[in-house]
Amino acid sequence: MAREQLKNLTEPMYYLLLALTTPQHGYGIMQEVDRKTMGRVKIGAGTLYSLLSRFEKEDIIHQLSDDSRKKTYQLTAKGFVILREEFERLNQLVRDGKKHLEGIGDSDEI
Amino acid sequence: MIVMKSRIVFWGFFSLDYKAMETYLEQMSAEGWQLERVGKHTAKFKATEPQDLKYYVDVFKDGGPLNPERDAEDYRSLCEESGWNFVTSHDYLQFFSAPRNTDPTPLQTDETIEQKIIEATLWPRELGGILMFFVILFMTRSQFSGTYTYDNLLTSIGVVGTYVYPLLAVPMFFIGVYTLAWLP
Repeated sequence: MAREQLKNLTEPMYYLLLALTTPQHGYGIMQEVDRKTMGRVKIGAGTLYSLLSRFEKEDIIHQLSDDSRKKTYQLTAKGFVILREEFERLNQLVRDGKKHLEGIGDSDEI
Repeated sequence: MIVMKSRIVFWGFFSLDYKAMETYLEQMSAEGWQLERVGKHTAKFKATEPQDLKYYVDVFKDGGPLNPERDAEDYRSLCEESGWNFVTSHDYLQFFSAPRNTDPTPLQTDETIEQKIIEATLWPRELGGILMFFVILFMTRSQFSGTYTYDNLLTSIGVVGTYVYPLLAVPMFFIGVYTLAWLP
C-alpha cells in the first residue's frame, strides 16, 4: 500500500512545523503550539509522537545530535519548502476570501 | 500495621474495546483498587485509598508482542511530561493515569491518526483470531458433516484430519505459554 502523500497540512501539523523552525524537543513543541494558539490547538503526546515519526520518515524534520537524553528536532530544507508552500496557500485563501467578503456583513452582523 | 492487599481479576476486554477499559479502571480506583499489571486474561490491582483518577489507554503503534518495548521510552517520557503517569503496558496497549483535577491534554487529539494506528495494530490481530475460529469451524464441519460413521476415520479426510487437527494445538501451545508468562 502506497503511503499517501502529504497534501494540505492539518492545523496541528501546521503549528508543529511552525514550532520546529527553531530546534525543539517533544514537550517543547506541545508548549509552543499551546502558547502560539493561546490554547486553541492542542496536540496530545501520542498524536505528537506519531506526527514526529512520520515527518522524520518523510524527511520533513530531522533529529539534531542529541547530547542530552531528550531528542531535539528541527525542520529540514524540504520541511521549510512544505511549510512555506502551505503559508502561501493559506494566504491565497485569505486573498480570495477578501474579494468576496470584505465589506459584507460589517454593518448587519455582530 | 498496613497490610498490602492485592487482587487479581479476570480481564475479559476485547483489545478493540480499550476505551471501555478506562471507565472500568476509573471505577476501580474510586473504589480503592489501583491497576498494577495487565496480562492477556487477567489484571492485578492493589488496594489503596479511593482516588479520583482519570485513566487513558493508548495504542502504541511500535508496540506489540514482537517488539514489546522498542522505542517505548521516548513515547512514554513524552506522555509523562504532558502530565500522564505511566502505569503498565500490554502488547500495543499503554495504560496511563492522572489525578482528575490536573486535567491533562488527552494523548490522542487527532481522530484520523488514532484510527490509522488502530487499523495498523489492533485490527489485524483481532481479525486473525476471528479467522482462526472460521478455520477451525470449517475443519470441524468438513469432518463431521453428514452422517458420521466410523468408516470416515479410514477415508483420506479422516486420516488427514486426525493428523492435521492436532497441529492446531501448536499455536495454542505458544499462546498458552505466552499467557502464563505474562500472568501478573
